[in-house]
Amino acid sequence: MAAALEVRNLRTQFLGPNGYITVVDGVNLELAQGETLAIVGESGSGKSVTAMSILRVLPEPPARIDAGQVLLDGRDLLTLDEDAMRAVRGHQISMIFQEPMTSLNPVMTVGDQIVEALCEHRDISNKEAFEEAVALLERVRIPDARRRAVEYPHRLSGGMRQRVMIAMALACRPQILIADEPTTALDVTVQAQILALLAKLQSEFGMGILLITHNLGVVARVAQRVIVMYAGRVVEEAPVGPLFKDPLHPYTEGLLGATPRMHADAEEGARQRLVDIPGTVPLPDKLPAGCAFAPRCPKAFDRCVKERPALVTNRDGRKTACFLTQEAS
Amino acid sequence: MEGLRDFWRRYRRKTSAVIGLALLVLVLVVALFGPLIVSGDPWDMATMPFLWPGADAAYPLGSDTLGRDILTGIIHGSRVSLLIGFSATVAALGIGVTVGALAGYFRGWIDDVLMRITEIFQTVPTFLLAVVLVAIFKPSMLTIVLAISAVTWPSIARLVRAEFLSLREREFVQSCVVIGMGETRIIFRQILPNCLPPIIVMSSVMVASAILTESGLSFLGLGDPNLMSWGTMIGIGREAMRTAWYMSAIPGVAILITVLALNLVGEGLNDALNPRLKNR
Repeated sequence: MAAALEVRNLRTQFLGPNGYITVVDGVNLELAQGETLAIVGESGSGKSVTAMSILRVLPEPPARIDAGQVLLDGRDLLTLDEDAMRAVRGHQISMIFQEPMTSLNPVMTVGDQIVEALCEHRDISNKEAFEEAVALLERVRIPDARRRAVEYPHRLSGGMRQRVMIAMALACRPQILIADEPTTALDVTVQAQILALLAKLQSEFGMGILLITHNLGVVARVAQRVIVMYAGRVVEEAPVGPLFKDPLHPYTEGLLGATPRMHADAEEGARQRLVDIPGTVPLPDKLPAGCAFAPRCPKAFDRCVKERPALVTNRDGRKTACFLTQEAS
Repeated sequence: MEGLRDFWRRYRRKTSAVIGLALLVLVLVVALFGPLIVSGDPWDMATMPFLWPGADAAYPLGSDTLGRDILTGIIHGSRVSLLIGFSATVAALGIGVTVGALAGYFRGWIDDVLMRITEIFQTVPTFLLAVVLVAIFKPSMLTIVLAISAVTWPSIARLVRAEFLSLREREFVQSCVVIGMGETRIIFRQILPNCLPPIIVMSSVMVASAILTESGLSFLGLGDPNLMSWGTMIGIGREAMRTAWYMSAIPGVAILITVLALNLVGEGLNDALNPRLKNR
């Protein structure tokens, strides 16, 4: 399947007090139409910065995209000027955020906000746009959409607002939807509804979804492939099934170990302690010379501290950046 | 509609605000309809000079040093004062909102340049600058309005800039950016409506201060020579201050009432529009 979106060797830096600090380093990813790719990692691993670099919405300065390519249907977005880029945003690539509470304009009705999104990219009358906004609200399964359209965001619940955000993001039928922690701020039952909605809309619209999350439960439910990021670099890439069954990188293993699981017996569940990963993510300006995960890795050896492992494709098509798995294969 | 009713419910909680609004409506009614009822030119020498209020039923507020009817002057003056007050505020809002919005939204060098210009205006005493501006250009309605707006826009600009600096970091602005919305649209359609409450509150007080500035200019003889404003009347009365104090006092009370009304309304609006007080 040809990739609709392809990121090659992306490097994003931020200006610190002593020069530029690399926050995203050499990230590669591919996303096809109708596919869901998840990026997982701890806070500060560079997931969101990668997404914002793709859309080029980081404030420049202090940020700068130092190297790489972002190819959308073969066109490099990093070379476009601001006007051309604006035409891409919303129209071809759109994005939704974590906080549905603050992501809507508090002084504008939700219908008008969708109308604004529609009018930006299409030449339609206000009345037509409003009808389309109502239709979109129906598609994101908002009951009584016509009445809801004239209400202000504070009248809607968190789940409803996230639905409105999705409607806004999909207003112009983008090929790619970037969802940055779309369900983190919602409670569990609403999370499940929103994920089901995204999956349903994906099959209706056929867009590719780039899902950014630290919730592995979400990943298992909706993604087909997973990229694990650590300290601004990709450490493992695999289809979702094999990754959960047999994590190759010690960091992925650690992440899965730190995920709570259901146990048939409550007693047994209480005995099973969650395994945590000792230490914290190193600051981007204090990365060790070798593997960034080495100081926290239970399996680290001499070479890990001295040399940085590259992301290498294994025999079974999975990619890892770890000497252990590379030596084994 | 529902929001309007809600707003009124919060506004009327404060008695002083309701009184202020009533006074303001009274002044507005006088300005709108007064000149239709009270015929005659305020500059006409209608009766004998130095007529005290109440001395002649045909001229209830008396007459000035040249025998001009003070009631006619007050009524015509309300039009001049309010017109200048409102149009100077509108002009100041136009400049101030644009400058503040651009500086706060784009930041960086645009902000630096615009704020330095704003500060230059702020370092000069406002009334003095207004006097100089009106003196350079011939005093007329237009130049007075321009002079007043030229000295009052910096405070609006700073207010709007501060609002924009915080609002532009909000997530809804970010979500407008990622769906490809243009900057003009984001500034004027998305962010500006969010900072309307403080702007509305400030402009009601600005109308009051513009009226005071105009009165000050007229008092100094820098008013529009063809218009009878309250300041002009006080200026005329000044010559006879010791013998006929009413000539200055009556237009002075008119200014007092109008400015007080506007300040009370401003305070009431502040309470009614302040989101922190919304839910008590």
